[in-house]
Amino acid sequence: MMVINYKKMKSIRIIIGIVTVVVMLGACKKLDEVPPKNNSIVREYILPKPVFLNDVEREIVKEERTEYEKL
Amino acid sequence: MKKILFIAFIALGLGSCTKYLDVKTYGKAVPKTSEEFSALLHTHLNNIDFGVSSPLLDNATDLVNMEVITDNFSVALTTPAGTVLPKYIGSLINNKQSRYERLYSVIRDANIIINNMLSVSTLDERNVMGTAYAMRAIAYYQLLREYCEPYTSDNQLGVPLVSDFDMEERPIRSTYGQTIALISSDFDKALSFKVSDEIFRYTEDVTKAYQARFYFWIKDWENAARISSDIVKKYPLLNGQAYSDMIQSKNAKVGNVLLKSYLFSGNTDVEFSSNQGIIQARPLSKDFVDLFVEKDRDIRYRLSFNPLRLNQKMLNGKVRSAEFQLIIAESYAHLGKSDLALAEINLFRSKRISKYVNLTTNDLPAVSPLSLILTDAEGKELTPLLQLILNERRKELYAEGDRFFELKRNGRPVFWAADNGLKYTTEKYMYTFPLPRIDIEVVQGLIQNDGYKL
Repeated sequence: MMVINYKKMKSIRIIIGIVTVVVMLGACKKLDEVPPKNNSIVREYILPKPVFLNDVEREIVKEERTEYEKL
Repeated sequence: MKKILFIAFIALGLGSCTKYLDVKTYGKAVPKTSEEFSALLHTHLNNIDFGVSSPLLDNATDLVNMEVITDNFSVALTTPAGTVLPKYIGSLINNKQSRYERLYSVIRDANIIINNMLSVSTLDERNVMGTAYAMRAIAYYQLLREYCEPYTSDNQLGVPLVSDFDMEERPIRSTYGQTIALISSDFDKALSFKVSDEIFRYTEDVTKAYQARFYFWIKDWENAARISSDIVKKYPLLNGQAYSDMIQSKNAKVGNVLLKSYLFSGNTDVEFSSNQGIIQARPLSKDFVDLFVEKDRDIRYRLSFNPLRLNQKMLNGKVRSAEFQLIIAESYAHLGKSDLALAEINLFRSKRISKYVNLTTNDLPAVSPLSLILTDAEGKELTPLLQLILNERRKELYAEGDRFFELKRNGRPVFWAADNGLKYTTEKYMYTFPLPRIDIEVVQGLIQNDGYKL
């Protein structure tokens, strides 16, 4: 017949508990060790935004359209 | 008994482990035979043949994109169907990063062959090696043309040079002079193998054509003229119906075409037709159409556009001899041989314009102050002779992806396009495309081209 040694079981549980806590804390040692941030996920270069046409330029475009509509 | 079984088990276990590290050696090429090496090339060659987008030769999509942003077209007249068309080079700049990577993938494959194909004795092996050198030279030439500023000195920035297959290598930019030296050497080596089998596409003649383009780009006018003369002698200029048939051929390689895309029909036919339609959503500029002074007497007048100034030309990338006749004329002009230059451009025009009467120095039209190009490739004020040559080039190579690089070569003029009340300006720095952002971040010391902001 097997005799359960409750006293021994208790110390094993304590040891397992301590080991678990140590391992968990150990795993947290390099908390910041995530993949390096890479801005290249955005691969676009910023280009100048278009600007509104001024009066002279609007007139040039208008003349271009008028000329084309005559074709 | 148990001991014997145990020892046998351990021995078996250890025996099976003897080659556990025998994996493919890191960094070494897998191919062994010339057939296996040639498979690396044929992936790229097939892309050209079927009109799949290739960094080596433009397909219809590439041509549409690079043409409609030039002064050959009027952005302001774009119809609603053309909203997908780029408005100026800025619309394409960010895509040029992947083009850079694709050019280096060609170089990687060429490097695998150049450095690992040990035997180069049979005809097949010589064809493979010659093509590999030609493709590497052309890829570097394209990088030089697109990602570096126009040539002024050997000390300006070139591109990173990779001449071996090494995944760990992180090269920084070479000088322009070093890049030129590698390209020159690769062209010479490619030609030494005398590739003659058409299946490899980069035959001796095609390689010479690219070599002429390269010398022309770096302003080595003597060599550009010399090699171009050889090409034109072998592939004389056409006129009349033969010329029309060549320009309007979609698949067949006819006339004096040395290399072309869409040699075969296939999955890209739909894309081709779609581009042939979409380019008509943007009419050509009056300025461009007005260059055809002789109108119907010039065979290109009806071949290039219809009365509504909409494109009629077949959109396939090609290398053909007319370009080299123009290189001869321009090279002579830069070398100060004006009489020869005029004779060459007269010869060219006589093949395009019916009832043509040769121009003399006194007949040359004055330089138009409204022209976008006012300085030549040497940075000098444009002369009437050079204007004539550049105008012929603009008309001849229209819709063949040339104009943007003509503007780059001749002063990088700033110009604007209007769309929906907004003004989009092609700035000087935009003629030189950016290196990929990821490379700039990963490779320490790699210098980006001016003007590009993160």
